[in-house]
Amino acid sequence: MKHFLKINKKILHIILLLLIPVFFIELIYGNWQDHYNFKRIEKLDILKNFQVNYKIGHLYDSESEIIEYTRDTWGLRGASENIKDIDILVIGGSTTDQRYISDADTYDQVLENEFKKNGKNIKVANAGNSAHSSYAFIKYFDLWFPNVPNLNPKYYLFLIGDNDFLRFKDDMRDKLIVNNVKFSLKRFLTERSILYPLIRKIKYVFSESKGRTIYISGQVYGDYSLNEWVNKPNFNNDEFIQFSKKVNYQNNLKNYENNLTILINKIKSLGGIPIFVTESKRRAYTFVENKIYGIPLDNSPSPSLGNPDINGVDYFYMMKSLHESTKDISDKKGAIFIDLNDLEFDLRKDFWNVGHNTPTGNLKKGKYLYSKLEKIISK
Amino acid sequence: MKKLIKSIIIMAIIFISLSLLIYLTNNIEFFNNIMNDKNFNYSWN
Repeated sequence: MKHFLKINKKILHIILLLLIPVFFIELIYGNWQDHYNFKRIEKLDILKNFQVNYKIGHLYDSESEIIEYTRDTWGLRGASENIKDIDILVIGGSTTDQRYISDADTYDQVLENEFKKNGKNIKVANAGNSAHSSYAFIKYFDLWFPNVPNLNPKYYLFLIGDNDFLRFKDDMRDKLIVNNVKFSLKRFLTERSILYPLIRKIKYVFSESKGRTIYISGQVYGDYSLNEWVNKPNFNNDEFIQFSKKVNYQNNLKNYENNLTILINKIKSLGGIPIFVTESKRRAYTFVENKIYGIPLDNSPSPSLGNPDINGVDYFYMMKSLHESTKDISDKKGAIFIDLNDLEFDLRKDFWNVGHNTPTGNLKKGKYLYSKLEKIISK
Repeated sequence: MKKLIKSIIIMAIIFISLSLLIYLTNNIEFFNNIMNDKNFNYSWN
């Protein structure tokens, strides 16, 4: 019995010898002091300290079939080590989140690289979140950005439009604030710990070839064919007015304009400069000899344009009026406006579905944004 | 007393080693490449 107690004491001693330094390491280097900031950001349910690998071979051709998607401690993608160095913060929905694009191929990374190539050290970080709209972006300025220490970009670039299109009253996507976040001990510890990412990395280095769990992207490649495209809207004028009423289009447009004004005011009060870039499901329409062509009506359970009553041509005209609103508000309130509709894409190669770009599309997008911003952006 | 000093030294060594490992993997490109990409072919030039 005595011998047994002695061994137990020794084991306890060894455990303590290991645990005490680990405790101090966590206390000093971990994110525990940011607990309250984290708590506020959690209300938006934004992924933080997150890394995942996706298999994307079925979506687009790429050198590597597996891509890496990373978000840092504060939920930002592609941010530099020093948050205070960030010059441009890009904000948007899934087209900015770019879930199935590797960290190195996002359009914001292309933009940063273009600045670098031309001798300007401009750091770009990404605050995109799939499905979020202007309603969510406003909340970022109350719940997210003020809680990221030293985050003070000069430019806030919004890729905006599509998620604000055809919104219905009380859209679930607007009810972002989660008041009763379910407590998860694993999430609590992993988001704040400094040793957890280190253990994960060491495990990866010593594991067999591809140690990390690789998820296959649940998205499917959206077939591209010009065969059934149409060159007329589905609606005549009267039908369009009726449809507009049904989906509350005019009212949504007013709310959208109001949201833009709120965003501009918030950014200006922080001493920043807002930039609005138009966002559309760009593969839904195209121009052939100056004539508009759009994808046909889609009656599948989840139509690619979000509504079975509109075709690509209807979509183009409706988005045009939304983007005109963005331009008007930008001109009136002193924001920079960039129309991505002016950029020519190869619709077959540059998209993996109706609205989301492949790396080749992102390369064009990033370079186009650089061409528009090179003279405007300064340190 | 001797045992206590020995324990403190061991704990200090563990603390310093872990701190160094965290610093190296986060800040030095060579270690960063290994940890993130299993890339051991770093050019020092």
